[in-house]
Amino acid sequence: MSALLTVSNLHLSYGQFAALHGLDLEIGAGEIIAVIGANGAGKSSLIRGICGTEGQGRGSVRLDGQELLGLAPPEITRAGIGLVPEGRRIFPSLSVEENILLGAQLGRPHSDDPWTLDRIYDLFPDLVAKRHLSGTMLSGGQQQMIAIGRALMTNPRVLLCDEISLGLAPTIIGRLYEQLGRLAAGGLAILVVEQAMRKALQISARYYCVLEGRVSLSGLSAEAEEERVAEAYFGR
Amino acid sequence: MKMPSPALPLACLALAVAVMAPLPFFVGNGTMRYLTDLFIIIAVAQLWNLLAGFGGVVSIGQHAFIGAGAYAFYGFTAHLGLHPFAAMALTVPFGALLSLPVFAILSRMRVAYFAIGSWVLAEVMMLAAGKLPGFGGGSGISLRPEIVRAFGARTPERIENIYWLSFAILSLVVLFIILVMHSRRGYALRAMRDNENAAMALGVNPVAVKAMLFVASGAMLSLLGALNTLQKLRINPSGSFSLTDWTVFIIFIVVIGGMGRIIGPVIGAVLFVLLRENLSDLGPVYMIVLGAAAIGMMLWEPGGIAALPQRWKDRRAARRTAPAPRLWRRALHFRDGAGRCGSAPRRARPTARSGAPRPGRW
Amino acid sequence: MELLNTLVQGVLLGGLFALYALGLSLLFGVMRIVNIAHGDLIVAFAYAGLMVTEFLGIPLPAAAPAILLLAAGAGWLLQRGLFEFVPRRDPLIPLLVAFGVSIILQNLMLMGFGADPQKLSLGALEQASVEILPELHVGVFSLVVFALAVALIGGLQLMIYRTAFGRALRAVSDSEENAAMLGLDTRAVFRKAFAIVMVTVAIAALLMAVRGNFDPASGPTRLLTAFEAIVIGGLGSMWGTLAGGIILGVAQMAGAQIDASWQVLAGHLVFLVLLVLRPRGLFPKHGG
Repeated sequence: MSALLTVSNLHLSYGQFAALHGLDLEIGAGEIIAVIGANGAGKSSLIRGICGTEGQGRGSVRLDGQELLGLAPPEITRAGIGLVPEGRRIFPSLSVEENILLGAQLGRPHSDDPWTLDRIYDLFPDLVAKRHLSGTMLSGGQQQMIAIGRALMTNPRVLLCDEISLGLAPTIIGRLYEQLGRLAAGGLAILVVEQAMRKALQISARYYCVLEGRVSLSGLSAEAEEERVAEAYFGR
Repeated sequence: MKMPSPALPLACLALAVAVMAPLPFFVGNGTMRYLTDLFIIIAVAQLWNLLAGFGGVVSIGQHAFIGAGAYAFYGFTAHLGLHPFAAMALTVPFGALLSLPVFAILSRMRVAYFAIGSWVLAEVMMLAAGKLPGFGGGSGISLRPEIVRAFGARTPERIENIYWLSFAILSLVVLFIILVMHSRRGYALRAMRDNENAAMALGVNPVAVKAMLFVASGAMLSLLGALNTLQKLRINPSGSFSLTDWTVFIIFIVVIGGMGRIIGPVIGAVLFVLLRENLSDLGPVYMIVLGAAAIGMMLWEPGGIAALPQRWKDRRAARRTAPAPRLWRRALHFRDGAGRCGSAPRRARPTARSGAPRPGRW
Repeated sequence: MELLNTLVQGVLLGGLFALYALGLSLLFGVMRIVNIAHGDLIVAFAYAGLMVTEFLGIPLPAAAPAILLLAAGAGWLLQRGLFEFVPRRDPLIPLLVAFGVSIILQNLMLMGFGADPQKLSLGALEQASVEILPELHVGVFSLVVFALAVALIGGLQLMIYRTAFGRALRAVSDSEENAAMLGLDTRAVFRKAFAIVMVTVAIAALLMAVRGNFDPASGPTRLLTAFEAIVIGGLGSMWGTLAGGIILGVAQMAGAQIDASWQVLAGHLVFLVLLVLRPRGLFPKHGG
């Protein structure tokens, strides 16, 4: 399978401070990959590097042959990168429905099988009853559903999920990942950034362990040996 | 973190006193009047800088205190029959008392609204001054000759005395600012410009510090207003409460000279006075040039002329460390505008160049 | 009767004040910039109206659409050419840049048009009045201004709460950083917002110029009035701004009954009293 998104030799720096030192990674369509690593290892910088939101980058980020590095975030979103940001970032002045609809304004205008509000509600039925409430009045898990719905409405080819399990109850996390699995089965490429190593290995096909701005270990999640991953994770 | 020592600014101040104090023995009346004007402008600019550059409080209404001081001085002498010296001294507590309720009202508003709110209050005071009975109404009134004569029976003598008086007041203003900025409160204030919680952590209540600065500046501006009346020999609402002279020009002086540094207003005021000599005949063009220069300075180097040496030093240092090639468009500029003041979390970014004046360097 | 007349005149004047305030309020809501040059921009477009009607001889109603279009372009350009480059992390900087713009505009107008007061004329409509109650005559033009204010507020509310662009505006207003992170083109949003703001400025300008005299130094008074209407009403509430405008209008009309010189002062004093009594305004936006 040829990769849909290819990150190669990505360097990212904020002024004098360098966060990524030549990171390589690939995702294919319909694949879930996990990026794991400790705090400050460079996971968030990877997301920023792909989305183009911050920092100066060097190297290459290609989506189906198109170079994304150097594009502005709106162009990157339109190219087909959907972001579920860390901390969900729901807009309090917008209702649940408006938060989701906002995604439709940002993304790819032409898609064979565009996402609609109805399809989002099918995916997350919990949201239907609350669709006219302010987005921030919902529980953390439901807010995460809004954030995923909003990202899907951009009709992404690659979905980036930044720490979606943070602060949520295990049952909710289970349900969210179940839905991500379904989305991947539909052909979406999903990159999951996680601090929770075990969870990440369970739901992904492949994993990349990031340490100090580089990939310290990668492989098939099913074959991952916990001890070696832990070593790559903490850098011992 | 270490507290910068006040030794250097104090030494500069002492040097200035040593040069300026004996000057009347060497220069003529014209030069002295000219310098007196300059001293008053520098002092007013220092006080605006104290609030905006150090305290982060922008006022567009500081001319209110200049005008109020002038009117109080007139009232104390003409209506209460006080000796002119006593009247002048009393404008200090008068200004302090006046600025208390003003601050109480304004402190309900955030930075930008504070600015316009202060303007409204200044407008109210000016309109009210025109309605005070016994102060000449809208057209104003002249100071009585005996009041002026108390500062020197003959004109040359008076010019000399007012020169010393205004220089003494300027020196006190600068000394006050140096001492405040090198105190624990002043240090907290600088922390506060970045983060109000940091100030709280230092055990300093930011609102109380701002209030103290506002009251102190109101008190000293009143005194300067009284002093300025001795130059103008007349009070009237639009002249004594001149927005253009005491706020517009002052803001341009500080912005161009350098906000957040004590030397900034001095540079700005000297430049302003020199330019005024040559360009004030141009009228509106002069104002347009000043406005454009201030905007340009805000965009290019918010720290003003006073920050340029540091800027060049930084640039040379940056060139030595050979930065990574910049393939990306400059980080989106919303990075510089996290929105409402203080509420959005700021990312610690170790970038060399920040958009704000770097507080803490003089 | 006198009392009722003052009240009605004041309410109608409040419509004009609300029109002054809409652009200022919108710009602050979206960009967190308090545009000190707002009043001067109003006066500048009054002069634009004057040029078109006096020098080109086109009647105002025919020229208005072109002037509004020009205003939208000017707003876009002002954002694209200046405010886009102004860092907003420290609120001081945009404030002082706008202050510089204000002084430049005032002096440009002084150079171009001189200090004499000017006025736009609208022919018979200016003088026309209707009797709404026995012995209570109200100027038709004042009624038109008030109706336009209500319509414009209604229109803006619809735009903000019912359109995709309004969603983007509110998202940016909540958090510019988050909106941009998700791929919203915040620059485009700001440019459009500034264009819309300037259309409201031009509407307010033309109506102001017909209603009374203006000169290059009239801007600050308009700014202060607009600001007071917003603060009285409560930040972010457009109907509140209308209420604030009405309160100011009534206060000014009542002040003018004492003596013409009390008109402006009375407005300011009512504002200060309300600021002390209701610091968050009459209709504060809940939560925010």
